[in-house]
Amino acid sequence: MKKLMDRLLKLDRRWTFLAIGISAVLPFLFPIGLAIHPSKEVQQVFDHVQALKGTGKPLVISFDFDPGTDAEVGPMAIALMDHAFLNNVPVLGLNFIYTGTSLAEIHIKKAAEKHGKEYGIDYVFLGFKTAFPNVMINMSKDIRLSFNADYYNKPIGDLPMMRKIKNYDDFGFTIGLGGTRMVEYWIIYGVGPYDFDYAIGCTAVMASDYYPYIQTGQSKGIIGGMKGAAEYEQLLLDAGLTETLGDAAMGLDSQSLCHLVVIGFIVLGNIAYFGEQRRKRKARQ
Amino acid sequence: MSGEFLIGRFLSANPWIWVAAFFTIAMYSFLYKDNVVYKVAENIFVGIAAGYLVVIQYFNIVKPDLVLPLFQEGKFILIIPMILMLLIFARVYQPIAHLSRIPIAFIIGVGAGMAIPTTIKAMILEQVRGSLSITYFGGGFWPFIGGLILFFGTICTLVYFFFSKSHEGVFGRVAKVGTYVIMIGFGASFGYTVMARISLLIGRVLFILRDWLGIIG
Repeated sequence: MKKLMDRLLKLDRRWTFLAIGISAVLPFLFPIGLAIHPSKEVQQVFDHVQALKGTGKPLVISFDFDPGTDAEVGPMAIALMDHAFLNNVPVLGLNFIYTGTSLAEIHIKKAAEKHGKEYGIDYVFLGFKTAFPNVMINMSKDIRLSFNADYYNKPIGDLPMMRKIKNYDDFGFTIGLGGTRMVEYWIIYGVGPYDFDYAIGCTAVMASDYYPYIQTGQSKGIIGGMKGAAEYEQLLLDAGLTETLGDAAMGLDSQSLCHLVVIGFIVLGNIAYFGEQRRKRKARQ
Repeated sequence: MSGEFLIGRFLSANPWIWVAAFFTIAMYSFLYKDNVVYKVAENIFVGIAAGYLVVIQYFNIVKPDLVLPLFQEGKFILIIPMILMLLIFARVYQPIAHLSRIPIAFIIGVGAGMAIPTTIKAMILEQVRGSLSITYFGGGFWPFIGGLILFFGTICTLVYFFFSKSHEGVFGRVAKVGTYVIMIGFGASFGYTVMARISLLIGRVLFILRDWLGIIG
């Protein structure tokens, strides 16, 4: 037993990496199919997007994530756009972090092609703008003050969808998808002074920091990490809007198995640590 | 099985997928030990990110908001921000480096002016209101208990951060409860952090198994 404890305490950390790697791969090859239970916070976002059906108002998505966090936030973007396009809700995309501009365009284009949507009528991508506080303040008056042309340098006036959109009053529901604090800046510079319906979609590591914004009503819900995205996919399936789950749900089995392995290592590490302390205490006595 | 059979049928035929797969494996090779392939991939990433920044900034900001309006539409007022922009680059030449302080002072002044009132409202006043709302979790017994825990948890945590009075007696016990609340908060954050990091790994695993190797559908 002592030997085993010593080996555990001196275990090369690469074995833990290997264990996590295997746990991440195996469920893709042999799916477990664990149930997904949507949380109240994700349900709230879903309900707000659903409520846009038939209003003609757009779902505004701020794509503030880059390839580094695409695995977590990308599936949210896909699920949200699927939801909007399936209900014929127009989508307006914009971006405030330069490393995510092309990625945002890829996601929007893919979703639009999947649902046969036409650029300028069903969706518009405004592209990247710096100095986000100015842009958010400008958008309270007229979006054209900051975006006089879209990502492809087409004048906004030439896009039929944009003729009905002037400022926050014309936004149906806004969602900030981010792997950065940009999702919070939307609350500081946008929701705070101009009070429009907004929700956060963020990486799991950020989610716990943003729950207080739900409590205050500044965020109408939160989609947190891959788990949140999987819950949204489950809601789309439950509502009969889609027939299959997406990438996030696909990865959730791996997520659960990896968590079990991490918990196992934490428990084993603690047992070994306290065992070692006990032995040292006994040796001193 | 020949390579031709594998590529297209299972392995991706898209060269960019192969590039992405190479860099993914190169980055994860660091987990075994630091190595030259990892270093090369890391440096390429930094270089590409810097170049990408310049291109995106020019085509999304400088060209549509400065170059075209100034030189095609004759909006000469834009000469002022253009001069301010150029002054930023004065930093690279020591004799005139001090001039870069002018646009920096402008940025800080405007930024602070916009940030202070909005931040106070969104992150202090609204949060105080929200933290004191014991009805947040809705009606019923357990939601009410949840609201109470939130309310007293906030108070206890604030007491812990009150250092002008020694943490003794009742005050000390309340502060102690505050530390437990903080630890629970850290635990939740750590749990989310583990979930986030593993999600990123899963994203890459999915890419390698599906997009590159074609093992899963």
